[in-house]
Amino acid sequence: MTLQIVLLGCLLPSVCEALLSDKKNGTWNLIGKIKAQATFRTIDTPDNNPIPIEAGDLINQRTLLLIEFRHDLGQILAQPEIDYYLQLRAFYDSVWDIGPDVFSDDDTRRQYLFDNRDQINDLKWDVDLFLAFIDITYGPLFTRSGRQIISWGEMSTKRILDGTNPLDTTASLAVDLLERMVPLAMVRTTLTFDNVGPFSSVGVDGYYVPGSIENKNGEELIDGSAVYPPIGRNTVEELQNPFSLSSLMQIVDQVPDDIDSDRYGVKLNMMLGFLELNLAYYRAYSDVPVPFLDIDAFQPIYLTWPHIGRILGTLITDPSNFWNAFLGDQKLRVVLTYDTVDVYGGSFNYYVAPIDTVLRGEMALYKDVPKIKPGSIADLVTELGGKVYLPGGNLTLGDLLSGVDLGGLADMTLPFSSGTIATFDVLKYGIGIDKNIVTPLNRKKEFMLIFEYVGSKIFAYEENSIIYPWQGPNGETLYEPEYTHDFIFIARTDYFKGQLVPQFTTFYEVVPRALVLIPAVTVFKGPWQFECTYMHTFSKSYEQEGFLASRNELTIGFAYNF
Amino acid sequence: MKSTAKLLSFLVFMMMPVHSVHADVLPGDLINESNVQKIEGLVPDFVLEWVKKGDLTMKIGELAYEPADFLPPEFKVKSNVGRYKVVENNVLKDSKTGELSPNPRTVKGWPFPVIDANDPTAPLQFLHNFNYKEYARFPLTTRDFWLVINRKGLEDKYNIRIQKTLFPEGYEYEQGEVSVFDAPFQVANIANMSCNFMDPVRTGIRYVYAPQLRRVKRLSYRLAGSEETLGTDFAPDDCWAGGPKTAFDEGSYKMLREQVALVPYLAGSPGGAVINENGEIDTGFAKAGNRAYVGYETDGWEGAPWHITNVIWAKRPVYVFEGRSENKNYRYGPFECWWEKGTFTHVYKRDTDINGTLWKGVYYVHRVMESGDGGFRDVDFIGPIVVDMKSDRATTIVANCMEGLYYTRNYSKVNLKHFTRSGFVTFTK
Repeated sequence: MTLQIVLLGCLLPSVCEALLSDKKNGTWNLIGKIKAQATFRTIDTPDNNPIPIEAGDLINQRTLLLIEFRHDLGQILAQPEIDYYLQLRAFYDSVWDIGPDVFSDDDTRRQYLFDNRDQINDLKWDVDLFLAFIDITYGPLFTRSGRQIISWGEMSTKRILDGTNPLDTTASLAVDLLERMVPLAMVRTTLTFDNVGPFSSVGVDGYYVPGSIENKNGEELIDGSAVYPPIGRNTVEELQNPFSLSSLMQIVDQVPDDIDSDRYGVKLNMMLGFLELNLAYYRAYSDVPVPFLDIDAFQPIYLTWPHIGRILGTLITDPSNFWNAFLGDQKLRVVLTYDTVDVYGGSFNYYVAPIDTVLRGEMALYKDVPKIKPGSIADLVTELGGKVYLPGGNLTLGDLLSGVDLGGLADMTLPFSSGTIATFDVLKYGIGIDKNIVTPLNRKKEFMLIFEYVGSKIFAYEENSIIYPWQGPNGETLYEPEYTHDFIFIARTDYFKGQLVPQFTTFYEVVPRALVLIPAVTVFKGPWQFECTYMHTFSKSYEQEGFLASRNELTIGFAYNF
Repeated sequence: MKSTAKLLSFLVFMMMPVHSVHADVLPGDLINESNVQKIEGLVPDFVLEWVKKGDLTMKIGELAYEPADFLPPEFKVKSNVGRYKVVENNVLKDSKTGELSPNPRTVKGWPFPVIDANDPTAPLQFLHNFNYKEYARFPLTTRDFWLVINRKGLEDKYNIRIQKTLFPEGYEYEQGEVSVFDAPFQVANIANMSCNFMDPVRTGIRYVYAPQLRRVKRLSYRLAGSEETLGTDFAPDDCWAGGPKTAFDEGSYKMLREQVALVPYLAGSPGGAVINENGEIDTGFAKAGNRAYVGYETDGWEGAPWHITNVIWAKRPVYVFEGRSENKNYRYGPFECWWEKGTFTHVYKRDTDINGTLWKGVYYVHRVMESGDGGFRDVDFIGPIVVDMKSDRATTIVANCMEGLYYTRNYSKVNLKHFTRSGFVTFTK
């Protein structure tokens, strides 16, 4: 990579300016950036991580190209004003070809039961029109049609009212901030009024994402990638136990949910003196998929005595093939279920002039959010056992095992649930202040300080009723708490005329007392940009952000802007 | 005895150092390090230093016209004499109506067409004149270049679109501004919107669109006016030869002197303005000519690459005053401001650091504009050219370089909704 950078440095212009532009009228320009970045894990993963990653391992090496074309067509006739915007994105993550063996070597990956080279080859790179929209402004009416991003709300890090566009979580720090929100194809309209009653301006903002066109709710994650949380390690050895998680996962066929519902939202914006108020409603898809066993898709099994004989024989002689003997070619279909969620909320910001401080806040009620209930072998036996008919056809396996003590198996929590999807109403709220201050640490630039508190409450909560989609460091099941409380602090300044930009971000989560530190520095020199970000988490438990304790990582990157 | 005295006088005369001859220049002089003494006292110390170092060669010229004759008609009349005064918090007061910080829609011409240098508020009168003259051109749209230039040449070239307006009667705020960076990528799509009152003590609103957050964020209304912007050498308060602009009440000023100085004018005859078919006045070089050339792009220029090269320096009367901010966090120490008499345009600004040491030298190249049919005339400026003497780098803001559209109070050309929080989404990406 160093050689590539040196060569690039010799070939590329040293002036930071638009690649091409309309020098006469300034109505269009072509700009972009190319960025090469590498992320290293700085901590060994726990034993229950799907793949073993050691401190120092490269986990992402992403090369990104963003090219942006803006064209202002001006006014067509007297009205309206029309312009369009295109942003092309291309990326390639070479860790899947040149990284450590757990990523690049298929034989090594198969030891951990990941045999997905086709998926890797499909997802490790992409070229797409990331953003593409046309704007039409006609007096107070503004419409934007195409792939775009809408970001409502006030918090800097945690999302409360901001839930229209999904997040790209496929590569942790390796995903550039500009591509972190996944654009959706939609039509957006804003209607602005001046001087309405006591308000200096009132705006109505609405959008519509047609489900028939837009089927995305995030980027697809490569199985066995570095961002996989600790959910247990599947190994060839564990397959000898037919009731181990490894064995159970082999009979599961996880399929993505259909994303075909319309999404839409409306927001009322009001300015009252220094106070900005927003009231919003929108329908979006839930963030976290619920792995849900599709009972209906399970084809009934009619056991015969020879079949039972083969199953028992395999159990004794070759336990790793037990499920094949039992189910044949059939797999359990587990749908990674997303459901539509209605969100009602509001936000405000207020400039407190006497202390030169911005105060911000927001709140949102998420209705019927699907959550992961702990699944169990007993549920499985009850629901699937009813479709497994014993010889004679009158009695099912479920009937037979009803009331039978399953021993230690009964306590085993499955990574998918069945029956009905549990939904909960969740209230999220946050408040923040922004303050610029002068410190002795920088005599030429202010420090921008951001303090935020973000909390949440799950209604109709029952103890140990909702699990996280990952495990504790020792394989223990982790349960979502009723309340969460996060404190966030961000400090940022710059030195040497903006050429050195340090930033420090920290989160403190009251439960489970997790402290996340993210120091970062960016250096600009002409068109060149160097970035270095480190993330370190202190936590003894893996609830909430605590699981990041197994994710300490360092990212360095070079970019060339034009 | 008489002859002895003559001899002594002659000897004394011969012993006088050559450079003690009164500094003066003549049209046609080319001032460089060999004859820099000629401009002593006619320019601020930083300009002398530039010339001594070979960074700047000055072509002395004579204007074939009186710039003040090219002011718009309303700025030639002196009907406002005695009508306005500067009161507490540096606020302008209309003595006739008692109104404080009168809306520019109601102020015709200079608030202070005649300035008495002995009036303690004289420096503030220059600054108010500057503001109200600027408002008179609103609504306007410009497409500018911000050029960051080091010794080796151009380092960064930012493209920025700016739209400014006054709000018609009935609106809460009095002035609005939207600016959007178009290039290069690292600053592209950063957009700012602010709405203000004329009264410096009244707080307005300020928002920024941050592309990396994909979010419009509320900002502190008061700009840190002495802090450099986006990696340039330019601080918002360098946009004029004055102190805090958005915290106008925090500036305190003292008149120093009236003198003759060399004032940079864009070479050539008045011109560089066209009135297009929509009645808009375009002063951008793309349409109207009168382009300013910068050192790095000028063949044969041997000075620093950041100076404007097609300039003549003409002797003109100026006032010099000193100012400072009362805000202890202001990054500039005392600053010196040079303003041309008659046109009330700024010429030089000398920024010091908080210890009073010279930090930046700033100058503004004057431009006298006239449309072909004479229907539009004005005296404007190009710049600022902000030279950071400590880091040996400069930022040259070539205002109205590409397009400078003045809508001549035709508000139908401006979408006022863009200056609202809701309408600002137009500029987000």
